[in-house]
Amino acid sequence: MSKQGQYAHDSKLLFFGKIIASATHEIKNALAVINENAGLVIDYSTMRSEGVSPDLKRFETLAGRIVDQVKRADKLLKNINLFSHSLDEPLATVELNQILHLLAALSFRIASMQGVTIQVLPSKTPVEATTSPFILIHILFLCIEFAIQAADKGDCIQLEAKKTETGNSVRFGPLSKLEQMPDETWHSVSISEVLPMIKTGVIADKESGNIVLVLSEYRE
Amino acid sequence: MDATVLVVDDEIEFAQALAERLQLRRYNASACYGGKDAIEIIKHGAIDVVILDLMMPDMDGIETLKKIKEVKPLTEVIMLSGKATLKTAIEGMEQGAFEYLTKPCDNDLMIGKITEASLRKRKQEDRIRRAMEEIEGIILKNR
Repeated sequence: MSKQGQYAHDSKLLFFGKIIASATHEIKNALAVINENAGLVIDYSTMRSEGVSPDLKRFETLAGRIVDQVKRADKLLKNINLFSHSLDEPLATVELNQILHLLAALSFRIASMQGVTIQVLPSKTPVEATTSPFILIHILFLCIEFAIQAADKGDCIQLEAKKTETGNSVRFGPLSKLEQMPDETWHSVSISEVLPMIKTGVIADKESGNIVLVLSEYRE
Repeated sequence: MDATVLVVDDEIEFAQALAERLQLRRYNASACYGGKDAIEIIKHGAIDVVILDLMMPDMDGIETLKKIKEVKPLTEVIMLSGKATLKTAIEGMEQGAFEYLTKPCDNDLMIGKITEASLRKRKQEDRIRRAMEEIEGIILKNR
């Protein structure tokens, strides 16, 4: 591949592009709902000015839908902003549950297109890790992408962060089709080149149907 | 205009609002929220124009479009998407879509396309009916 090709297909850029494409598509959907419901308000207002009286409750319902979609779009933009800021520091202390919630939100559309849901299980105490925030998010996203492929329609993928003796771990599962997934899909180039960067490893437990990301203490 | 329009989108509040706006403009419009439901409705009903979302979880827009063209080839399909890639637009047109619009869509533009699509369907139906009448005429003449 040429240097320009390598630059364009750098796995970090592909990851960034995927996240932004998915989130902006969702924002477009929210804007489309706002557009149609605002259009209905205008249609009914025109009818009123022509002497036809639609039920006033209808206006309340339509306005409520618009407000809900504005909140939805605002949340999506907030998540994109948080994600973009993960590049600010090469090394920082992050709380894993917050990162998992962010990723679950950013992956929502990708998961729902495969008929799968994502749930972050709460921890009793905060689970902190000192690491590269962007690389960690990239690895966690690759795990979520794999988990979605290894899940069946209707499955709920649980994300669970825990403290361990040597660092932290994140579980992804249960995954109904994990046993059938060929090893090559798991040991893909993108995850193999990223894992060692922040001293992480992945274990696939086919018996329990879970994959576990193991994070050791990381210093630059 | 009394064309029958089916809005197909997994965003329920979008599909419902668009169908309602079309009803206010005297279209016989309804909404459903997935490709499989859409196919069933189209199989058993007389739908002139389908407004079809591209990205749906149960059956994506292109797959749904192919099925629609299998069961009711004359039904016109206007594809609708928040995704702005040329590739999906081309694929849709190659599979027989009447038009490809992006969300959010200007209402006047949408109405214009629905009118054009339903007129095209009527013209196709008229052509087929005249051709059938001509064939029947030839058969009767040769008896």
